[in-house]
This record gives sequence, C-alpha cells and structure tokens, in this order.
Amino acid sequence: MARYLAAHSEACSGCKTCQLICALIHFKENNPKKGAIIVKSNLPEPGFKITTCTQCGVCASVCPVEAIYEENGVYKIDRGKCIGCYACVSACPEEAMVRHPAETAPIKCDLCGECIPYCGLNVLYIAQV
Amino acid sequence: MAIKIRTGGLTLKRYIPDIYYVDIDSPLTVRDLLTKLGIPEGLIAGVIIDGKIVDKSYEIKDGQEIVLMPPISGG
Amino acid sequence: MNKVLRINLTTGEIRTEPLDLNMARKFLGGRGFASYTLYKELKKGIDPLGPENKLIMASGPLAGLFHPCSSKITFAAKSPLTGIYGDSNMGGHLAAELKYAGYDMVIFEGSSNKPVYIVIDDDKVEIRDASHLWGKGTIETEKQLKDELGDDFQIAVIGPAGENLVKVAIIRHDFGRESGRTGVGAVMGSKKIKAIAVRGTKSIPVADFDEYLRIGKEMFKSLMSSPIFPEFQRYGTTMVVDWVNEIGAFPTRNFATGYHENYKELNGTAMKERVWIHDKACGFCPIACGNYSRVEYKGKTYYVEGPEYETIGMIGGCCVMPSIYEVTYGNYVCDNLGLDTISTGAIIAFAYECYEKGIITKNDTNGLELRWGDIESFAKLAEMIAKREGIGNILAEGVKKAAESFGKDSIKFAMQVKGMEISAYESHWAPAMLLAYATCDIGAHHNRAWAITYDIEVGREKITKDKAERVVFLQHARPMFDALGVCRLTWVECGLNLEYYAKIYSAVTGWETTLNDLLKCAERAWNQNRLFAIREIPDFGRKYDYPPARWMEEPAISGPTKGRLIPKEDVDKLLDFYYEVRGWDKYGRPTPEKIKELELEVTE
Repeated sequence: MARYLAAHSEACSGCKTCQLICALIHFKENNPKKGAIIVKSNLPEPGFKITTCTQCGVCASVCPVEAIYEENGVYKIDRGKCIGCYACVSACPEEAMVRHPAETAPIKCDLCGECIPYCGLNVLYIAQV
Repeated sequence: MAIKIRTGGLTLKRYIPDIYYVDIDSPLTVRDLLTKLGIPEGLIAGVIIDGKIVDKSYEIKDGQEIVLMPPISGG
Repeated sequence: MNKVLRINLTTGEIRTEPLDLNMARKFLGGRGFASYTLYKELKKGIDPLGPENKLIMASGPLAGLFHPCSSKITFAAKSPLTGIYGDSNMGGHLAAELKYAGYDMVIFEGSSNKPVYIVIDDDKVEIRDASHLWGKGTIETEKQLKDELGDDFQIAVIGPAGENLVKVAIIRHDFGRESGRTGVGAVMGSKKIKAIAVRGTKSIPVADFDEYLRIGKEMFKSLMSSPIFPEFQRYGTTMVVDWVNEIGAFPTRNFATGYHENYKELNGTAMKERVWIHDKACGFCPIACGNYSRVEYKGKTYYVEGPEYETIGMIGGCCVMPSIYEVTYGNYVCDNLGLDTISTGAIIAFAYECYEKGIITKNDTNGLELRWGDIESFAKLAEMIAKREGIGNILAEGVKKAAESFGKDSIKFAMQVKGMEISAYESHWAPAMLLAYATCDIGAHHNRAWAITYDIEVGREKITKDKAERVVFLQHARPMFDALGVCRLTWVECGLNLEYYAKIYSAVTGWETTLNDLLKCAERAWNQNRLFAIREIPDFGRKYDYPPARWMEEPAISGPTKGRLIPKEDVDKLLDFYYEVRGWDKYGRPTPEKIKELELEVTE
C-alpha cells in the first residue's frame, strides 16, 4: 500500500501554514520557503495549486551518489551525502522538489503528517493507493 | 425536550458556555429561547439548525442542535 | 539582528540601522513603531504630500511566526486627508516576508523625481525605474512585477489614484489586501514609488524556541477547536449584512438610515451564491475570511477579492446599490484604480445626495447624471476621482473638503470625523459606536473600537460611563494586534484568549511581558498620536471629536432605528466620560500626569 501526502487544491486558501510548520519541524526555522509543500497561484486568476511529493521514487533512481533512500515506502534525502547536482529536481515528474539558496540538498516531503492538523480548511490528507 | 446549543467567540461568553444543553418545556421559537437565556436578540447574527440558516421565529424541535452565531466585525 | 531599512528617494541613499530596542519595548511594533517614529522624526507643519513626509512600512514582533493569522503590516505617514497621524494595516503575506528578509520596519524618505519601484531581496535593496508601470492599475502592476521578479516576491502597489495624489488612495497587495484608510497611497505616490517588492529567504530567530512553538501550536488548536469554528468558516461573513440591517446599523443612503430595503440581495448568502469562487487567506490564517469572487459586467469578466462587509456597506448600502453584482463590480473598479472602497463609497454617496438636492448639477458633473443605485455613474465618478478629472478633482480631496467647496450646509451630511470618511456602522442609535468613531485617533474608523455589540448588550439608549470605558479598552486591545503584526479576528470572533499573546510575545522576545504590559504599549501609542495631532493643529481637542450633524440633528428616516438620533448634549456627556477614563483634560488633551505615566516626551 503506497502512501503519500495529497491535497484538495480546490479548497486551498493559500495561507501557507503547512509550509511554515514543515520548516519548523524539519529545520527548526521560521522559514516557509524551506517547507516541502508547494503552493502556487496565478492571481488574478482564481485558485491555488498544491504540489506534493507522491513518493514515486524517480528521484532516488537518478541520484548519482545514492543520497536518496526508501524507508517504509517513503523516500528521504541523506542531506550529508547530497552533492547538490539537482538531477533529482529535474527528474521529479511532479516538480515537487523544493530548492532553497541556503540548503545544498533539495527539500522533499517525508510524510511526517505534521502539517495536516494545522490546515484550517482540511485540504491536506494522506492518500493511499 | 432536550436541545443542544453550540456557540463561540467572545461576545456571547457572558451568557452561555460554548456548548450548552438545556431542557425546554414546550415547543419554543428561537426568539423565545433567546429570551429564556437572557441573550439580547441583537447579539445573535444568525442561527443555524440542521445545517440551514433559520429565522428567529423558527420553532425548535426535540433533540435539535442549535448553532448561535455571534456578530463579527467586517473589514 | 533586528534591523530598520531607511531609503531616501531624493538622494538614493539606502541605509540599514539597528532597531531601537527601547522603542521596541515601549511601542511593540507595527503601528506603535510608526506612532513613535513619525512624532520623533517629522517636523511640525510639513506638507503630507511633500518630500519631508515619511512613509513607514512596519511589520511586528509576532509576524511571520507560527500562530494563527500572523501577517499584518502597517503603512503610516502624516495623512494628507486629515493632516494628523494616519495609518492603515493590511494582511496578505507582506508582513511575514519583510521579517524573513530581516527587517522590522522600512522608512521611505524624500521623494523621487521619476517613477520608481523598490526591490528588497534579503540584503540586496535597489531603487529601480518604474516608468513602464506608471499609469497602470493595481492588478496589472502587481501581475507584471510577479512575472518580472518571481512569484515568491510579495508586492505592494499603488494605482492611478495614488499617482494622482488622491487623498483617499490606497496601497494594495496580494491582489486583494489593502491599506485603505487615511490616504497612505497618496503619500506613496507623492514619493513616486509605484511598488515595493520584498523577498526574504531567512528565518526569524526567537528567544525560547521550544516554548514559542508549544504556545503557537496551542493557539492554533484552541482557535480551531472553537465549537463554531466550522460554521464560522462556512457562514462567518454570511450573516453580517443581515444582522446589521436587523439592528438598523447598515449605512444606507449616505447614512440617512440604517436599513436597506433589499438587503437580502446584498448579503453573504447572495455573495456566496452569485459571485464567490473560493476562500482566500492571509499568511498563516486558518479562518480564511477573504472571498475571491467573479463578476460579469458588460460582457467582461472581472475577478476581485471581496466584497467584504465594509464594501457591501459603503457601496451597497451608502450608495444604495440593488444587488451584490453591482457591489462586486464597484469593488473591482475601486481596487484597480487604487481607491479606498470605504472613503469612496462615502464620497460618492455624498455626491449623490448633493445632486439629488440640487447642490451640484449636471453642469458640475460634465453632464454625468448622478443617481442612487446606479453602478455606471458610480464607476464613472470613481474614475474621475482617481484621475482628478472635473468634479473628481474636488471629490478627490475627501468628503469634508468637498462639502466646504459645495457649501449650502452640505457639511451636515458629509459623513466624516477629523476629515476621514466614516465606515460602515450607521450609528444614529449606537452611542458607544458613535463615540468610537468620534474619538478614533486617525479619524472615523471602526477598526480601533468596534463597540456596537456593547450598545446592544447593555441597552442602546444608555449614555453611561461604562460605554466610554469599553471604547477605551477596545482602543487599546484592538490596536495591540496591529502593533504585534497580527490579525485581531482570532480574539472577538473566535474567542482566542488574549493571554496567549503575552505568553508568545515573552517566548519570542525573551522579555517577560504581561497582557497589561502589552495594553499599556497600545495606550502609549494612542496618546502619542493624540500629541501628534495637538502639535499639528493648534486648537486640536474636543472640537475635533464630534460626529457629523446628521447623527446629532437628523433622525434616521426608516428601519429599526427610525426617528432616533444622539443629540449633542449626549455626545458631550460621552466625551466627558471618555476624557475622564483616558486621564485627559476636559478639552480632550492628555494631562501632564498621563504623559508622565506613559513616559512620553512632548516636543514642539
């Protein structure tokens, strides 16, 4: 049973609380740009589009130094091993990998689920396939 | 009849707790209920019962849950 | 670590200064910083639209952090509309972004001789040429800059109204949030700043990380577990219009009455069913009160964030529009031109009434017929105001100056206090709310003290000291949120305990602070603003704290408050109580004891 973080984008209000708690949990930083969830809009056109990692594993397969490993169906980055080539970022079919100027390794969702209870509109959930 | 009232915010705190169970004797309108609870009608911005916005003249039925919405300031 | 950015548009000089921590302890942030800085740095008597005025953009100590609704920024300056301290805050994501870039406040000084926009990209700050943007509406401007700079920039813009120094011009951001009041947009336009773009990629350090995160998480959980949180999100704004009409406080026909016959065509249900597309939130807010809507007008589709209650009140009520469609289109028109919907609604309603009474005629309006409820003339007038064309040039000065120009006693129904237009709580029979409008520090605005529920709670007819006490308390508690850089909707609406703010502020700053300390800082800023006004206007005081004659002399013409008014003797009683509670003299000036108690300094 594969699991990954999914979103009802059509209900998203663009508040970015999910990005902030993600950065706080993983980096202990007040820095939503280090969050693993991508929230995009095309204002003034309506709507927000959320992009999350689907745990497909393509990133792991292209990493030249095997810095991305799988654990219980979730793909995680060994930040110490990463050489910052960003092959994974280009290869990601969802374009879900996040880059930040202060981090060598890209940022991806590790399915910790901490963001879910803080979404005021119940947009985020764990999908199972 | 036993009914459950659900409310929140600061404005109504002095009248009833956020969740309040009350027994009422006979069929009662929302308006009568507010009088009974001592809540000025003008402090209730809206009433929701069974997911529908209702008038203050609505007659409450046994076992219903009444949501009292306090006024909110616009921007 | 805390920094202030100072940008001089005349010389091009850009400087970073350390944040004055003494000021921070006494004034918190946001509007508090603005109050202190403007009093200290502005000389008395300067032209608000001249290079000596300063535009302050201030975030707050709690902005950008993990607790509900934590991104509110304040724009402030000496107001071109009122001639005294002016500010207006806005939500969106800008307050947070400024903190991520490492700044608590930006001070814009001097003025450029050609259009520019400012880019603040972490430590890199630039003044760039904006000639390709000048003249454009707010929507196109923000869109173009998002395309040029990137989606991760947060951008504040002005429209043609700001460029043309219209005194009710706004600063707009995130395609739908506005700093609307006191004409801050005109000050930005006078410095020829078309836009301010900010990107911050850094973290915000806090003193006690674990305690801060624990409290922040608790605040989210407490807020979201209010028993009516789901209903509040779903219905929250829906009921305001109905409720306000039921209590006769919906400003209709230029505040002649508090009741709109067809209010059900304008209410939240009408909005949700006819124009609303989805909810839009400011930074880190689970409430998401913003409504993103779509309206069709003459075959074209327009998107706008809104309309929110104030716009429904001032365009829908004051100008007597027939339905939510007209209000939404009017909202779009004002937003894109960069006009405050509150002030513009009041000004156009005033113009309608003057036209109806024959005080102005077709000759004055370039042949335009002004009619209540006519969105075409509304849109045309709004455009004329933004471009200062024809009669728009007089209306652009605000309703008070327009009344002084038109004469014929029209000042009696020019709905303003201290020169700023009244917002959407019709107070013919709401003494506490009337007092709130009369004494608001920036001119008539409801944001400082939303006291109308108190009138209902204790009895509308009462003219008692407790109403003054309530107004004073609200005038500290609500601006406290503005000073902290966060949104007040968590408190009154959702019942979040105010004590949380003292706790999280202590954990974030490392300064042990009580709620009373925070409220004292708000009281200090309030008195500071009063001193600013006294320094600017020699006879400033009680004389400027009166509501328009309409509320004191003309009874409401219909609805639940028909026949009511609040006579001057009662207003005087309320003001007496108010000054007593405030520790001010009978003329409404802070006493030396009060000034000393608040550790304020008076300068000439």
